[in-house]
Amino acid sequence: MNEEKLNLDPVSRGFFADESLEIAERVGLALIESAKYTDIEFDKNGLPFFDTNKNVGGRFSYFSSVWYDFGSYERFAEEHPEDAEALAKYRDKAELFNMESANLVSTVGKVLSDTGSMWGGSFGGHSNPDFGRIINLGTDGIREIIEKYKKINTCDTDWFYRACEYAMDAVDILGGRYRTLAEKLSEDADSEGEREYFKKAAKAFETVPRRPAPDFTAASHVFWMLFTFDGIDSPGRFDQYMYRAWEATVDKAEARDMLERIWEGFHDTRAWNLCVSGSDETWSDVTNSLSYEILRLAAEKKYETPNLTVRVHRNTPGVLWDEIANTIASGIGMPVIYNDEVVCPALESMGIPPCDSHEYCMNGCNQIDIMGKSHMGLEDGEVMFTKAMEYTLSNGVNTMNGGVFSTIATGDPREFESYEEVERAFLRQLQYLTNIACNHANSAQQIRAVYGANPFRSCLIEGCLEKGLDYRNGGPLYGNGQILAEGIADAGDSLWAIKKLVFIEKKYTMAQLVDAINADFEGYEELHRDFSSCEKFGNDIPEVDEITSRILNRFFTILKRQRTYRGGVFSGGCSPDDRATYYGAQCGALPNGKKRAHPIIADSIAAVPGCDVKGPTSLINSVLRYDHRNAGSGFIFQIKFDKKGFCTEKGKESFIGLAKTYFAGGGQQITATVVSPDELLDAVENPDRHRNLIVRVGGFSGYFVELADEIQQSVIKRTFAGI
Amino acid sequence: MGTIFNIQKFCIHDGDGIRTCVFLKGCPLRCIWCHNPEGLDRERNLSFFEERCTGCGRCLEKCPGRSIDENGKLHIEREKCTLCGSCVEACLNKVNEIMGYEASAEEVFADVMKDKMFYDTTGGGLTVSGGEPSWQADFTLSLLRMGKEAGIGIAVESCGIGKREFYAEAADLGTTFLFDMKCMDSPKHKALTGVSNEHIIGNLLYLFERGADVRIRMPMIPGCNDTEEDIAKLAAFLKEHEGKYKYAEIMPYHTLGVGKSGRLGREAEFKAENATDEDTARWVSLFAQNGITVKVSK
Repeated sequence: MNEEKLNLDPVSRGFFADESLEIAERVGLALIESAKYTDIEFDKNGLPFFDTNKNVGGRFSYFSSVWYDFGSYERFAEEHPEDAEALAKYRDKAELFNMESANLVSTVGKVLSDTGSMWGGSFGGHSNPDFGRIINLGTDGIREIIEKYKKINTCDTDWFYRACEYAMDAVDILGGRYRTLAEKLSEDADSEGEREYFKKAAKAFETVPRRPAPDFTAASHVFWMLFTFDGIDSPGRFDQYMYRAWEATVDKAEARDMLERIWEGFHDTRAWNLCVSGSDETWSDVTNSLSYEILRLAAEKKYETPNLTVRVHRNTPGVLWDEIANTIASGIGMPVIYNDEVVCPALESMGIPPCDSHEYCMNGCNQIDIMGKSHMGLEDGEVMFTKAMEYTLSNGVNTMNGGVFSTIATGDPREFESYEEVERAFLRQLQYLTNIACNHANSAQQIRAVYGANPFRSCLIEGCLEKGLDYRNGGPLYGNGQILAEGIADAGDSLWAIKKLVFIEKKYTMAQLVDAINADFEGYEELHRDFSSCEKFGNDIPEVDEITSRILNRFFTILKRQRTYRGGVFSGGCSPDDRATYYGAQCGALPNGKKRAHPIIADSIAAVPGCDVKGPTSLINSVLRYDHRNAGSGFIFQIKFDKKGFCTEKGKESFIGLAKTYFAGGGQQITATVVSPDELLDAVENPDRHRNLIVRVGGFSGYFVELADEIQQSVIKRTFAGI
Repeated sequence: MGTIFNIQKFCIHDGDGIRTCVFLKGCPLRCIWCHNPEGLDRERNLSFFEERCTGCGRCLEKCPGRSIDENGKLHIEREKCTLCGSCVEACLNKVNEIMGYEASAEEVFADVMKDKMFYDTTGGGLTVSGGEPSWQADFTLSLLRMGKEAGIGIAVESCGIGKREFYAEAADLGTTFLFDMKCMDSPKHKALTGVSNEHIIGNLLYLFERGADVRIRMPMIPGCNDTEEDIAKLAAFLKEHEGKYKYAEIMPYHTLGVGKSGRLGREAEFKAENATDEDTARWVSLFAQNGITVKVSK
């Protein structure tokens, strides 16, 4: 591939920072227009819902930054002629942004198809805005912060601060409209209960969002309004920022009712990630009564959303562990458990001090972020280890693409004379792909910084108001990026098979292997058997585990030498994702025995499905050979349990034993899926009987019967831990 | 050296915590329902997974005991098998497997210790099973000794048929005994397992007397040892010795062993269905009527 084609540098294409400032102000105005005119409602759960799709000022949705809807402009201008001029003011720039965004996305898409190996930059990233800032300080509290820093930062920041003020005005306008609506609903109510409910809602909006929410009811209303106005991403540390209001509420039954309504809302809107518990920088436990309430509610409702995560550490109380086991045993594959003892040091190695590393939570599927302090751009890109292996044996030619030279030449594989030469060639391919992914991510970050101003989030993320910089333009305290790795064990198994059969036992030559791979093993059945039955990662076999962990560590090192446009470092992570299936299908035959285009590849950091034959303890021992403190973006480990075994006391106890051992040994995160093999097989035959069967794939829990065939097969094949 | 057929990690129903089970070959009993038939013979066996065989004929070259008939179906004359392993090497479909291998106690123990971290967190350790561990008494005792020295939990699963000295020495080491009781009626015990039960019960009483850590396990086989009378007798025995064992557990029959028998060239004459939830409930309530609370192994 010609690297020049990849140059997306906005500066060289004539974009200037001025434009970004101007855009910020226009977005702020657009927010006001949206707050004024977008149709609003109290949804079926009785919560103030804001439909971002109808929002004229654009959606803040995580992937599209700000996306202008011209249809709405026209409509609003017609309906409100008094504002027509104001609307027209920011329309032109909006058009330009839409165009640039579209260009960027299509260019990045092309990179993926050229190499089949990586993508970078096409998502704007999930985030964890601190909704607690408005819930607990009120918009007036935010205005005070704006006032304070406006006086300090005077260089080219007027437009930015004006935009933020507009954003807070928009929130207040919206609150006022919900108050009027609630009053009306209360008057029109059919029942006493409903009348009372909306009366309370109207009362709440008398003070919120301008002032701190006095109780959980008011906090819930303002939370839901902000959460849907922001575009429904990740609620984050809900048990922490909602706790003040929860505790202040005397009527716990009413508070529980509100929590349940929010939980229904999360389910209806497909909210992303909610995190409970954790430690502070002194390692004190921060679990509270709301944390327990949430775990119990999740077990009771059995919804697949939001992704529920829980943080544990040295001082986690035993009773929290019991609740975790009970919630997992309810069959929802959640909560996902994160280990503060590894995550916090991982974040600290990226330059984040303990006072903030302990504020982490997850956004999106399972990526680590610092609540209300960062824009980690999750996720920025993804690199395919299997494809790097393919390029190693094809000297840079994409065998799935009609044999086009696609990466770099690392030598004719038939001529490799030692195992070291093979591994070196592999690492060079990997480095090439990783660097391109980072470059792309940076280009995309830059375009978003210029065109994707988001004054609303700038108010909710520490650093932006303080520095006078937008959320997307390096404002947040931390601007790290994330690149994921996929197909690690496939590459490790392949390298070990080459080392063993070609260079140690000398049973085959490199030439024979390359011929067999080129023929997709047709006519090489014995060679295929030998390569595919070599020792595999995931069985506690040091030789193969060492290679696998070495190549992954190298990937982390490559990333750590890169800097993001937003001013942070790139960190790596691994996450199972349904894209892995796509990547498998894009890849040629491999020395671990994988056939051409076979869609099943390794499950995040674990073994290739079906290859870990010695049970979960051996798999864990293998996985612990990686250094989990290198993975600042999440290091996802899934383990599957059959329901019958897990739901006994002994089963739960054993899972907790496994998890605690895994964490004591340096593991970062563990997910348990509880499902019986028969259930899965039967679900393929009789989907109607298993509509409610939830499995965890790709970092989210999904309904099994709704998954694609290959993914269903891969879930079935994932080794069942035989408790 | 010992002969073993499996080292299974992450066992959670064979003693406390997370454990590793070492399965030894050879058992003097011939329980008609045996679900680990690969543990019966002290010698190694050839396992032949017929469903996987494509009749390709690659294994014929070096083996005098194999032929393919006109339908492409492979026949094995097991009496000619010398366990040379050439069929294992030749086959592309993993049809042939030699069950059992020789290993030193040190080698086996090194593998067991790979999971030490899990034993430490959960109070688990090593469980020697089989087959029948007392049938390779020296090997078993070596493993138990190493386990004790390493400070992990040690347990044996035994049918109780071994020599008294074996139990004495194991008890000295502080071993947990998962002790099988199948039937109190001696002639019936002999009919079901090939041996009478006096010696077995003698060993159990000896362990009771020593105050050893004993847990009783009772395989329950529908139609074999589950009449009201069978259960009443087991319960009476347990009642008499209440307090001398930690708990009693029933193990409902499952049919996993049937397929394995066929692959070893053993005709599985015994036919029973998997125990149903109703069976289990009936057994539990029969024990309860006789004043004994049993756990159910799942």
